[in-house]
Amino acid sequence: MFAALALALLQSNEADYYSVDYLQLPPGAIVEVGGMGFLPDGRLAACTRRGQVWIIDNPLAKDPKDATFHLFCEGLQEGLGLDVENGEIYVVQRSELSRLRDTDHDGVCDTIDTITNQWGVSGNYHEFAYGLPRDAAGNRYVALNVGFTDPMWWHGRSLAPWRGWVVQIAQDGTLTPFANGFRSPCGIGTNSVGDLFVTDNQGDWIPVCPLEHVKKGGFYGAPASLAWTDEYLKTKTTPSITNPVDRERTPPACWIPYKWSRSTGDMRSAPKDGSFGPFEDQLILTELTNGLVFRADLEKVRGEYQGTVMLVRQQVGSGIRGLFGKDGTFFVGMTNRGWGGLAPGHGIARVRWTGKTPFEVRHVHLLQDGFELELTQSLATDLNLTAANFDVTQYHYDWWWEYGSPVRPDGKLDVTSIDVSSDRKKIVIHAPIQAGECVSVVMKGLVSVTGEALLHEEFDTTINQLPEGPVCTTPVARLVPPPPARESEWEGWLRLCYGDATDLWPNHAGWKLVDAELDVQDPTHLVVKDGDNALVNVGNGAEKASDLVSGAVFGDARVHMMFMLPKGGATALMLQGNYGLLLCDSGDAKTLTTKSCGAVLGGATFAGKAPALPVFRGAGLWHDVDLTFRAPRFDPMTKKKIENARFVRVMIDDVLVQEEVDLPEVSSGAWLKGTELAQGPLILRGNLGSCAVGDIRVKPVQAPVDPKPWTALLGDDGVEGWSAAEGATWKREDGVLVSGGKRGWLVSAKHDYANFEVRAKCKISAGGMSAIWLRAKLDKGEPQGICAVINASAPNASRTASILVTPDPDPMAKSADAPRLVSLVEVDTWFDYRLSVTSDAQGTNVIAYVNGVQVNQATIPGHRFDAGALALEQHHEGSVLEVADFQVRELPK
Amino acid sequence: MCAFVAAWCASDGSAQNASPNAPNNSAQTSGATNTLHVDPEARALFLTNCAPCHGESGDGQGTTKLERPARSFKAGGFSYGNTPETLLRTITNGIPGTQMPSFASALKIEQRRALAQYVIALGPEQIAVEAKDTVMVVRDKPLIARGKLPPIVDGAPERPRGLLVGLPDGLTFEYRTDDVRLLGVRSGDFVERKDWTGRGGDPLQPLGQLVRASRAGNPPSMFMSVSGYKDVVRENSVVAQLISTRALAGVVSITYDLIPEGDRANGSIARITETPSAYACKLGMGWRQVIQIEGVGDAAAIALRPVRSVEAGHGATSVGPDRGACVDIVGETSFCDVIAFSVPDQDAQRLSPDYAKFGVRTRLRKGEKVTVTLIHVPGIAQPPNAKSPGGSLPREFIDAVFTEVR
Repeated sequence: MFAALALALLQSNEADYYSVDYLQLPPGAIVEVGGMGFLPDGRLAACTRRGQVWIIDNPLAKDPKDATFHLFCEGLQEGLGLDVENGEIYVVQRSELSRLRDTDHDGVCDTIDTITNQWGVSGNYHEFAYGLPRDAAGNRYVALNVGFTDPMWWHGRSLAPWRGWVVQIAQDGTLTPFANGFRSPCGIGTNSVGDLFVTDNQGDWIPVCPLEHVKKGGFYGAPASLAWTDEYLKTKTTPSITNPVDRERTPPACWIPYKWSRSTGDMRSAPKDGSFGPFEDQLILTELTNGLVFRADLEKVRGEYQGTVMLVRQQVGSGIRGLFGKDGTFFVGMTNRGWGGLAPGHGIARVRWTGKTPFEVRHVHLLQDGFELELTQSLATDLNLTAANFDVTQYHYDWWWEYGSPVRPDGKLDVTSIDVSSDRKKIVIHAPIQAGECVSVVMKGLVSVTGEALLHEEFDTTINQLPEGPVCTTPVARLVPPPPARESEWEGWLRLCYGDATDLWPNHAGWKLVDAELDVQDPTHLVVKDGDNALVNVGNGAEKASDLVSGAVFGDARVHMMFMLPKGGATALMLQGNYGLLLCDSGDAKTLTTKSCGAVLGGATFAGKAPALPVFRGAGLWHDVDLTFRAPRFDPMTKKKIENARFVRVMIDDVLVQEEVDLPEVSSGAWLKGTELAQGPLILRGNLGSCAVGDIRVKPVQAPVDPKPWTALLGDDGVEGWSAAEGATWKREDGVLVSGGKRGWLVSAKHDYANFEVRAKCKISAGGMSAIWLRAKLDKGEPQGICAVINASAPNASRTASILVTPDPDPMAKSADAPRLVSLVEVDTWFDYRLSVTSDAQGTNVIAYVNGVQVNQATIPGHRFDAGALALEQHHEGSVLEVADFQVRELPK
Repeated sequence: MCAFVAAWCASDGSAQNASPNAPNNSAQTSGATNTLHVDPEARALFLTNCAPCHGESGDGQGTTKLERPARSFKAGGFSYGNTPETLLRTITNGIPGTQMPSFASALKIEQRRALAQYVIALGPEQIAVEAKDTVMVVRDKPLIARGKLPPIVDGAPERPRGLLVGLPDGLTFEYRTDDVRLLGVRSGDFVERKDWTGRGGDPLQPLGQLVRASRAGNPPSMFMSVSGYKDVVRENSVVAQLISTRALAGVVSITYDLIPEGDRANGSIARITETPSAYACKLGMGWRQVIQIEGVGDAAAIALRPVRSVEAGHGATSVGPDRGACVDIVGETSFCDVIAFSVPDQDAQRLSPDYAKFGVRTRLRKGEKVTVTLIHVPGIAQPPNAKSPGGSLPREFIDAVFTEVR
């Protein structure tokens, strides 16, 4: 449903009413705006995440090229909020609130005064400090992000004082903690009467982005911040990260639907003089991920703000800061580095009302039994509105530790009647609305007296309270039992391009690991620069990029990836190299065909299959693909195919586009031209068009159980017969062997394993490093033999599944080492490790499998390591290896 | 100033020859290896080993007859990647199923590496990837960069609040700002803003070579507040709180307040303005910190203190005893080989040969100022020993310093 709406919205003519242009940046400058303000003489000051402050002359110039930038200050520690008072610029840095002064009047800041640095900075990367509104008394407000730590980053943590708080800073620099319960409160500002508002970002305890009216002492839902309240300080405890705290939450004025905003920025009141069009005095908000501007139309119900959100203008860019110029121009400061968002990813956009009034719902007024809508233009005289013109749906969210909450639908409401005012500019929708709910209203078929359709057909209203009746005590974000722990989220997944992105893709000619975003000047191109967010098929001189072919092969599997395309861009994800899913810019075409994004590609006779819904949201936006694939089946005797391959399920951005699609033959463009196999590589087509892909993961569906017997290596009640060498300690906990202590090894009693396979379930801690040694000799100190590495995150480049040989048999010729540089497995995550070691006349062959997939192979010449012990390694103190189901199977020589 | 740095390096064998104003090399594009510096040896290797199949010019038109033509390097057609690493891998291992053999035994690793570079250079221009733009370069004016600092030496902690002062002569002073302490001094290029990548929050990467790290990156406070006098002296810790930084007309200064620990409510007793700069004399090269102390309260009693605890009445040089309490000002011997100090507007200008012990105490009324200059020149004095705990300073140096601070 959301995707269908998104497409309809894209086809609206927002540009007729709100124009967008971009200030021209100095050559080479990256202006990642974090705050903006006007100097008394009308110049615009903008601070950036790069710690610079730019001053822009002539920001209201008709031609954006006539606005000129000069660098006023550099070297700050990230600037995410700016205020101008008495002509002086104040910037909130990550570590302090500062005043920037130009004492010798040469146009460049020379003196930076610290107003306060009395909030905590633990050093966690995510401890942003956002600002910078000022109240009538001159107090400033700063919102402090919590930290996110590995491995369970989704639990926000308050690692230093006032993290997760809004703090108040008086003119003399005195800092007062003001309100708490915030997670990632990127937007902070005031409305026209000086009331303080914050937007937070969805995540743990924040189901979707809220717009909060912040009052002193309020708690806004995310518990980590409570660590700095007396209740927890006295008991030296911290709030639970998984169980809800027993504390009254202040509900937000609005919950902002996820489909509109995934990362909300700050807000400003639209001018009352109508210079920004018909939304006088409403809050205009910026949005980063989808790169749009929307509005919040608030009213006070029983003394508290609550209200409605609606779109204003899409296709603006990654906005996080807004500011109104005196002529009604809405400046949008943009940045998306590391956060992902619609291009442009930096710079300053200007959204201006063209003077033409859109046909819109100007204002939504909550009634006891519905809504009164005020329109910007009269309804067409011959239009007879009925209940059928309105879809009214209730929903709520879950308040829990999981990252965000799904929409929890509470059903469609029967619209009982519709009233239209005599001037045909007001509509009353009567429906049995309830408090403690959000309501989505979709208006169909509304036409203005001038024949225009509604520019935006949906609004979403948060109803914390109805105007009358008993006070509602049920919040929209419901208290629910904690969901199951997420430890297993990564279990079974192989990350195919995490870390050294091309390591597991032996054929990657013409693909580069870069940061990519849409070229705003020419949206048919991507701009690439140094970075590691995406693989892009930039090509190789005159040659187009080759196909990106994985080294590992897969059968039944779940696959996840992300893609982003320029206008006209395309690629295809080929399962087993044979069965294609088309990922392309479908353009504005309204009918869905086998050339639409999400189509299953056809072959010689198979026509392919169009997607069920439109899913391509636009050039420059990242899309998620999640699919389940079933490989073809073959008769073990005749080798003939007995069952076709199948796309079981394909989701793009959570929209189901394909389900149970039988694949009678390979797609055109398949790599083996018709040969179907039980297993094959994952391929991304490199020459269909320009594309950026990333976060490619595969979860192999386990193969049938191998009937051949395995022998347990570790008895139930201890590590029988094995001996600990050097400083490591090994203990058993619930059938799991856990390493500890200093560097050392655990060595098998048997010292003549020759040809064999071992397997184990393994788990390694963050920063930990370990190994299974094969055919090892430990006469004294360090072992010699074949080492199969277990390393998810330690600085050593050789990651899990690396096969290293000590000492190298003939380093001058060709090292026998086969390092694996990609981080296949997440830290602290169980994986199946299987190693096979066999020798023949030429030498020794070692194969490493992770989660059932062969991911590495090494050939060791000669016969130096023909037999030896098995050993587990504790690489360094602090590393924790866990091993279960450690088994061996000897093979004939 | 370049001469200064060169001399500096000559006087300290551990420092590399740094050239602070040289173009920034780290901004080169990773893939931009097309500038062909023809290595004659690589050319010869190519002609012997590769040209028979791939052609003398690398166009794939060699003299050997093959079932499938060899790759043309000129068209940039590399089967298995076009980076030095992947090409080295291809040359080393060959390509199974083709006539491309392994050169692992025929050629040494250095030869294979040289060949890989040579072959890449035969290809077309690679797609340009934007150069790294995250390096701050100090040119003719000093720069101050704030950010998280990485451990200055192994085992030291990160400093979430830090500040780097970069001077045009290539010196970088590295401070943490929670309590305003100099962690170390570097020589070379300024800083790479690692916090300009990803979501931000990464430590800065100072590019200069570390010349001195103070106390394994954990310097003690230089100051203490003192109450009482002579027999009854109470020394109290002070905390420093950053007030402002300034970069003006080529001079950088850092201003901070000293607040007695345990008596924070009464606020600052003294305001310090510290100006770091380079220092050169005939005997060696180093740096100096000019420290101006201004009384803030009515009876600011401040000591710039020795690192080694000074017994009351011993070792510290009392300035203006009639004024009572003090600040001991002392350099830290583990940090500086030589520290000279001077209090020009007092009568007690002196340089302690017994430098492990010296200190300055003064009591300042509100608005009164005293300036102390600490001069650090590595490598001049003998290290302290039991007989002469302060070591000894050459007369020539003492004269130079006095000339300097007068």
